[in-house]
Amino acid sequence: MRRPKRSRAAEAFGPSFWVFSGVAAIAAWAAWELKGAAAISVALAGDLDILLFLLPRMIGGMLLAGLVQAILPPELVAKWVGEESGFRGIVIGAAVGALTPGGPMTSFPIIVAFYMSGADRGALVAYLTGWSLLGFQRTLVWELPLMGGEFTLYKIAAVIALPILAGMIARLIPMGSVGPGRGEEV
Amino acid sequence: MIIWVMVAAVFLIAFRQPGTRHHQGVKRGFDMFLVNGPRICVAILAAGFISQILPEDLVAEWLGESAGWQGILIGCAVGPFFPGGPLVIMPLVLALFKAGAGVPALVALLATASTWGIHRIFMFEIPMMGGRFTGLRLFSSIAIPPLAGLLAALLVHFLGPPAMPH
Repeated sequence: MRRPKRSRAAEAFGPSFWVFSGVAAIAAWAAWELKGAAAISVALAGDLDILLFLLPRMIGGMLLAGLVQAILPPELVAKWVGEESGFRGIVIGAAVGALTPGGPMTSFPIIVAFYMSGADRGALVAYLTGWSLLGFQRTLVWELPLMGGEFTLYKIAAVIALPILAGMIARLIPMGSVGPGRGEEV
Repeated sequence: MIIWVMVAAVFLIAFRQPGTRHHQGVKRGFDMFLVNGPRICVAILAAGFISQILPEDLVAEWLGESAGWQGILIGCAVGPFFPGGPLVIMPLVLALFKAGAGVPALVALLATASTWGIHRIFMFEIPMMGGRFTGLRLFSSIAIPPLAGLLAALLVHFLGPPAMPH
């Protein structure tokens, strides 16, 4: 972990909260200047609409993500890709990546564990690409509620094969050790 | 809301496992909500005002379905510089979508933001996996964003554009 655990309140009202508040204030001022007071009330009404629509779905998405994390121990995940190789290893890497919940605080410790347990670099690249492109938590908590089912399906269909492609390319590139400086062959 | 059916199913699985996994899982979910709730509210607020000031005709012209390759390339070019995770990106993508941006450009943008997001590369990937691995991964995924945009364009061509969200 990157930094010691902070209190929830400190995390909730951390930098990104204030950055967004600042952006909101600047955008509100610009909207007022450009389009007048009506634009503000239109924006606020739309926000309330989105929020009411989003809240129950987002709470569901987060509960789902928390529960999946609780029943899916990282050691087990590491074992799946660690032991596989070949094309199957890449496919499994991409799929496990897509199934890894949480942000980079979860996925990077897992990928380091994969590397340590001897996963091949194609599987490692496929894993990270699968996690970032197709991560189910991102899809459930953010894309589905905000962008709607059809957009989400289009996006998934457009990117689903690409983590496997990235893993295959990574394997073709002649390169010795790729790990965090341990000098071992991956 | 199908998501609550899934929550119930996974909760049952967790409940049947030994220990207090169901309890931990629910707690983790609520923690996530408590931490993200305030940010989500201000992010939505910001996106609402931004969508008021976005020049819709320009967005539609640059990123619209009819912009073709140009829209996909612009999407690829701006993606890496969206800081932060989906919290930052999704409300903006929604605002762009509503202002007339096309699915190919938005899919390309989401694909570069996830595979080439510079903030994650510098904060996590290089420190934890090293520069060589990061270089290998970036090189391997160089084709992903334009390919994703192209595939999305094909889908739109054959199936028609997706429904506008709520």
